[in-house]
Amino acid sequence: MNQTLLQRIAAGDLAAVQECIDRYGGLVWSLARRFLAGQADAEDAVQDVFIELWKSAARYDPDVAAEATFVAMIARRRLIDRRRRISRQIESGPTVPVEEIDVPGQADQVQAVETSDEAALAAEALGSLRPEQQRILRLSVYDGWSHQKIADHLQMPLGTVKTHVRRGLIRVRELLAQRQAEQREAAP
Amino acid sequence: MTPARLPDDDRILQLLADEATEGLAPADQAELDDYQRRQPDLDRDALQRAAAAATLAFSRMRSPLPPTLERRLTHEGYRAVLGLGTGAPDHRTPSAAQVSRLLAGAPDVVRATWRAAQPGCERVAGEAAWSDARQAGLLVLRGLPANDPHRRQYQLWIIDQRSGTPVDGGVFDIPSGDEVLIPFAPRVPVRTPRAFAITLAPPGGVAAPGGPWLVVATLNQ
Repeated sequence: MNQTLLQRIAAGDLAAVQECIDRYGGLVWSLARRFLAGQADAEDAVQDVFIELWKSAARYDPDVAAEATFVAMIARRRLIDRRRRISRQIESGPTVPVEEIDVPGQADQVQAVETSDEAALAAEALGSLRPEQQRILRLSVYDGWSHQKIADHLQMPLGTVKTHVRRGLIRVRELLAQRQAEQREAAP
Repeated sequence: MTPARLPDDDRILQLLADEATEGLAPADQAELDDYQRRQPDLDRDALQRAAAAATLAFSRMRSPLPPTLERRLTHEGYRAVLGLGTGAPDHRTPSAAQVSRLLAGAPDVVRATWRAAQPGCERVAGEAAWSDARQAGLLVLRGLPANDPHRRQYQLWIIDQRSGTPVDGGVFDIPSGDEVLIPFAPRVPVRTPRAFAITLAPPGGVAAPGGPWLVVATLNQ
């Protein structure tokens, strides 16, 4: 089985460093720009994310998550931590008008397939949610809005927003777990 | 690895979802930590992985990294892989063992020290390391003046042992005159290089060296 980029980095393969940046730099940078208000802060955050990736490369387990998912998880953790530290930016961060936010469609799924099987599964799970739930989950996980900000913007009780986010994530997780189980059963 | 079950407790599930999407206040963090101590098989990352996968599914467009940031990331990545630490720059040179590890444990790593071949390059220091088995190497350079990538770029040449022909090793930039670590892998197979040389070239490089060697690193065969 071919080694993943993070496994190669853990083994000391320097060429994998640039490949990793080429593959995931745009993803992490785009997330940082959505989560944080200032360019300089976003650049520092991206550097933090990649330093964390270099340090944690040896801990990456492809049996638990696809590499892209692992990278996105590390990035999200760092960005959420940073944003909490500078909480004044939570409500003043970059915003996307709700009217311009699409639910996952075919174009998203094509992109997801290109990214990883897990992203495709997530798109499938998201597609099974009601449009309103999809929109709320997108505002939360992709656009990085706080639950309170979503509630205010959609004029919806905070508890309802939290419930939609929770149920949406559980649905995605169920599909991922189910597919992992199927893959294990199919393995020789 | 068998994924652990999620708890049935809606409160705990909400804390996991909150942690995955906007982080937790200290009191909530303590509550979840306490639950995990009592339920050590809790898959604390489960909804974080779900949020990450959903993020990928929603990602339609990705902006390219700013070039300056990409250079910073690359340099930090090389230093991390080399075990030289990250963050504040320092001028430690990787050891032979570190270079070997860098080249994925290749047993045939050879190294050579840079020496000036043109006036004005006397302060350039560092080395070139190469593995035939990996067909890849590493440049460690200090003291090479910063270049304007829009006007000129540095270009590496690998002098092939058999033919003596310079093989294009790729172009690179020196952002600030500080130490740079540059891995390289020529597109054309090279067998046992005799030397490495660096020239200045138009942006993107040239097919054959058009300027004088600035610095040369000759391998002892």
